Amino acid sequence: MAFSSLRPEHGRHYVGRAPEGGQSYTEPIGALSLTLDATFFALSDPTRRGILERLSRGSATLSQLAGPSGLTLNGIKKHVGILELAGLVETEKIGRVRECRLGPATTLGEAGEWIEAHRRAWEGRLDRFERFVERAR
Amino acid sequence: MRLELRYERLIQATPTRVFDLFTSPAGQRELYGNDAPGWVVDSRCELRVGGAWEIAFGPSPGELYRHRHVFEAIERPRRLLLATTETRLDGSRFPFSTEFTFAPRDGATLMTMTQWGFPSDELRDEHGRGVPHAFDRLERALWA
Repeated sequence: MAFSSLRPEHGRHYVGRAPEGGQSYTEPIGALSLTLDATFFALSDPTRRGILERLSRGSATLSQLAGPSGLTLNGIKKHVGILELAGLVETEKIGRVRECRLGPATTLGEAGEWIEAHRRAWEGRLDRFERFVERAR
Repeated sequence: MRLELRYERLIQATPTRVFDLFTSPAGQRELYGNDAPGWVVDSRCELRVGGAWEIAFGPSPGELYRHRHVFEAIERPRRLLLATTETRLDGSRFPFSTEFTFAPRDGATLMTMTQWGFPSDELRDEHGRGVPHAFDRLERALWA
């Protein structure tokens, strides 16, 4: 999915995690949420991984994040925005600065849930094939 | 860290027997089967390197999920390497690699299926960099 297809709604970015009553993921595999795509996209960039690494040690302002990365403030804003869309980072305007911190773990949780559902589907298929071979003896 | 899913089954048959059943039309239909009434499996396979194994499966003809595997290596009875594409309900596609190996083990066959190359594969460690806490959480989810 192209990142550009992620759209903000009502001034806030909802990416994948559907509001209450939204459609939930069920097997068989097929209906991936936007969150999973957004998570994988966000984590695919080394700069963004570095930002997460930094934020795992505590919150930081955009300027503090930009310093060690060698990026401009605008550059770091872009990366933080992508991480924010994926729910990996939260930002809050405090006075004249914007503070960043790790986002809710539910985003990665959903990625983990998808992988687990994928695993369960294949485990079931292999179980079924094993029984088939036993019957075919 | 390479995000990789691995599955193993010890099957009481020789590797050749397991390999041949796995690549047979009946075995391929069984893999994607389900006991639910009305479950549909449509499997078409051209067993050659570069050939495609296409499966549509689901609870009804109107609700089918699709996997397309292209054979990249066929080493009977030891190994199959497939380029897999999973088509989502919305029509978008999700590619990854799938390898099946069939190893003799005490008169039986250790069948191992490994999948990798998910979009998250890009999350692997880079030399000289630490692993963000977020990766640790994702890895724990993978290996839970």
